[in-house]
Amino acid sequence: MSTYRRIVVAEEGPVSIVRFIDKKIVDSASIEQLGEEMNALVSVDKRNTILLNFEGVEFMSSAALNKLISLNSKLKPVQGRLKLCNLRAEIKEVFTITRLDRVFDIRKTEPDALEAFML
Amino acid sequence: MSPTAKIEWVWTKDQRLSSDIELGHAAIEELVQALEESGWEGRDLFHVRMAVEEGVVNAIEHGNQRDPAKHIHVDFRVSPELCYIQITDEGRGFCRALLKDCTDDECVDKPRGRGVHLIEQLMSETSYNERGNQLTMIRKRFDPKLAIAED
Repeated sequence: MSTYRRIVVAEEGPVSIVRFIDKKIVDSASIEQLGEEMNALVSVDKRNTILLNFEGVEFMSSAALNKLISLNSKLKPVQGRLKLCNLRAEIKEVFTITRLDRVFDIRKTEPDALEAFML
Repeated sequence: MSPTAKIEWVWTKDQRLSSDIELGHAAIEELVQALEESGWEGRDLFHVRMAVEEGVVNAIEHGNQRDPAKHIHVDFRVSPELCYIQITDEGRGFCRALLKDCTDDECVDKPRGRGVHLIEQLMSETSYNERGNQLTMIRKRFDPKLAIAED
């Protein structure tokens, strides 16, 4: 089991729910660590059904977005599933502007996302 | 593009910084605080924070290649209605026209190239100097051009 410092991971049935420690995800070193920890979710801990819950995240840079894209890419070869939820409106807008809303399955709330996993 | 001389800025910061991300973030925090004190909030404030974050990081990481011997120059100006930001690095500059559109199908799932696109979409006006090492951007508060339909 990996040790996580930038995220908190909880289990809900087959789904690993990931929450973020940092309210503002901008610091370069923290973003690198976040990327490594999200990679470890898949490659070390063999989790392949992941919900990223952005509750409490106020801001994130494009460098942080890149780590989410890397996680998504890492899940593809293992037939993994990834969903996002609880994005504040301004961050959701960033996904829309960059058209990442086509890449990620974004749900409003955690129950919405968990239900979508069960479909 | 230049800021209108008629604007009465309530806060300005004109500073040369080492190519250190932490110094860049400290300057951004000062700007955000000045904006908040001038009544900026919500999407307007978020947009400026996002654009300046991308601009400063690009200048330090891509422009100056994190070379500690090189500096960036930031010129931040705040009024209750307008924010002016100019960031200059000591790099070779880049050609905006050569940058691929990160929203194209072939690029949308690649983990790079979104900063410049975000800057252009979130600010009222953006421009680069001829060399491509100086970004100037203006954000009007309540800019109707930047209204976006919520889902």
